[in-house]
Amino acid sequence: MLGFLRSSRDSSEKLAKHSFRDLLLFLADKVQGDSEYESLTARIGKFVNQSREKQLQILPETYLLLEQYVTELDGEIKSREDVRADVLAKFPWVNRIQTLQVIFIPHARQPIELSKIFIASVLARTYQLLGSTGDKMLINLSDWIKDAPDHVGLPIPFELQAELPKNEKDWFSLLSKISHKLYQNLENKFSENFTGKIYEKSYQDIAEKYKGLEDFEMTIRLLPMKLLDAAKVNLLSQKNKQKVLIGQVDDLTALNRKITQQAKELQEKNEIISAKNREITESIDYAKRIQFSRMPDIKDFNRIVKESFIFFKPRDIVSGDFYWFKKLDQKDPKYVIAAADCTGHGVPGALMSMIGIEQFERIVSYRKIADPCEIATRLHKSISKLSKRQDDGIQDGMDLSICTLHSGTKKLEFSGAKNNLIFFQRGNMKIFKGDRHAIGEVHDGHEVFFTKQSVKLNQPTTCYLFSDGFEDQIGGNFNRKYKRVRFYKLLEKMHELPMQRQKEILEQELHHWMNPEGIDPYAQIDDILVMGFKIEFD
Amino acid sequence: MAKDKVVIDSTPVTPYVIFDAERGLFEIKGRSSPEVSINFYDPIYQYLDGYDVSDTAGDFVANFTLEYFNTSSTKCLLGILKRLSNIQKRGQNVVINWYYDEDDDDVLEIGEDLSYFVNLEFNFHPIDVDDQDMDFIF
Repeated sequence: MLGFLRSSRDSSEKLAKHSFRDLLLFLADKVQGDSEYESLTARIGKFVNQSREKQLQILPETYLLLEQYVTELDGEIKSREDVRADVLAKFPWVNRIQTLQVIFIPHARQPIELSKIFIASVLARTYQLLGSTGDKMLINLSDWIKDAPDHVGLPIPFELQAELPKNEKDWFSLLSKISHKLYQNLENKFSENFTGKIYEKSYQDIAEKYKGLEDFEMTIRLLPMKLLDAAKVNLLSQKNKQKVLIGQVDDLTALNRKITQQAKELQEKNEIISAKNREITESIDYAKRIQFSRMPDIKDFNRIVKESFIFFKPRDIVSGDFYWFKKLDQKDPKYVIAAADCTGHGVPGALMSMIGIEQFERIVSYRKIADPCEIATRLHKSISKLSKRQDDGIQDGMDLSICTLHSGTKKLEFSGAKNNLIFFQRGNMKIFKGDRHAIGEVHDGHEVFFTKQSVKLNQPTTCYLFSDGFEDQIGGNFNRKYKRVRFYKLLEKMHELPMQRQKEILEQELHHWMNPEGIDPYAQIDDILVMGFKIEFD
Repeated sequence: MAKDKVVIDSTPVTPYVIFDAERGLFEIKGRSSPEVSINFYDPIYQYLDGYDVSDTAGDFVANFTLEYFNTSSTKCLLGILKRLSNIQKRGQNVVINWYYDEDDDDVLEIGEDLSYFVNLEFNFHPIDVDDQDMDFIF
């Protein structure tokens, strides 16, 4: 499979008898008397001290260096071809040293052979890093590259048959196309990084050995555009820079066309996504109007309880949390106030909340039921009927805290489903814990009922109803939940301040919690609802 | 039969989960607030359903260390407990260790509530997490 590498090792053994030292000294002797002679012989001395393997490796660059001195310093200027003819006559075996062959073949053939060496090196590195992948394409290519361009039997890889050159000089162009195709192929199979490294390393290899060759610069066309940095191109002579650049204008034009096309497609897709996004947002915005129109007007809360606030911060546009309140019975006023938290947030939560809101209307507004326990029980019955209809195992429900203020009897009654009521009288905090099952949650064989707690309102009382959104918010310097304990402490600390000020504090405290100094801001994880009100019956 | 060992790394919205059939161990830890919880928990149900009781000696131990669990994830925990309950019914004793931040009644209550619905031994362990000063913005 790797014929190229194997034959290199074989020939090094067979040709061990040949003296590279004699070869190099033959060249050096041609510049005897020149000021550089000493340094050249010193270099040859160093060379002979290397292992045979290392010698084979550095032979081409050493040879080419000396050859260049000979052509430039031998008084009369000789052409490189002449020097090589001299060398061949004296040392006919140089032609059989694998690493030197490319130097002694006819000039026009050199770029072709360099390309073959390069591609073979890329393949060898790929195998070395990946082992045999059994990849047909790679195997075929390494077989094919060995004999190119002398065989005609095997098909040209990458379906480039149509490009079969008529003249030998066009072979280089075909081979650079193959090199580019191979790059794309490897990049698709593995990664850009991996393939880029293989190409860079293989190019360094041939550059080290053969950069002294007349037309070495042409080989830069073997590299794909993206590996051609300014440093590589600037190494080229003016003539070759032009050649390379002209050769690449075509590539660039094609690439440019492709990019323009892609940009156009991308823009079209972007427009579709934007349009869809706009459509969805508009429709959710409209849904928000519906949701809010079904909830009581937030401004009316101050009309019912003068000192009050509602801090309502949905995570998305529509909300799974909702508030609800209603004044019943003009003669003996009763006030029903509720904070609810439906499973989920966003659209699913909001759909659930619409059901909840409608049930509140039905039970409280039309049937005039004011008892919080009865309201909770009726809500539970109607919502559990709905959630039974689902068959995905997920049960939708609603956490709830609901209280009724009786102005006549000066009494507060509370029922809760997983949510609590916090209230303060004379600076003392009291908690009414809600029952520990949600509205709508059905567990086989377990009868669900709700209880009621009450307190006399014969002194000023500040109450809070809320969903778990605030206490569950992640943030702070330690990436933690705000926690209930901290939230209750916050309520305790601020409960005597004016209600509007308390709302501001909640807003600021939450913002501060979600935007700790020196840390990326945290996203809101759930809908947040806190209702606060102060009752002072005369 | 080959013993399963499954480790699921945590993400910002899903917890760390380990299920080790050989040791008879299940653990779930962290936060859970995916948009559709059942998609995350359904594969876990299947691991537990596929657990072969006969191959493991001793108790099956399940450790729960929750931080934030949204409502639908909490419901999925009940699904997990029902499957643990099945393991018990199939003859292996199941022990539940429920860890909670000592300041976080919420997590304790989730555990207590869930314990009513299954006939399993629950051990509650408060953890001392001293990470919060009680300074407020005002």
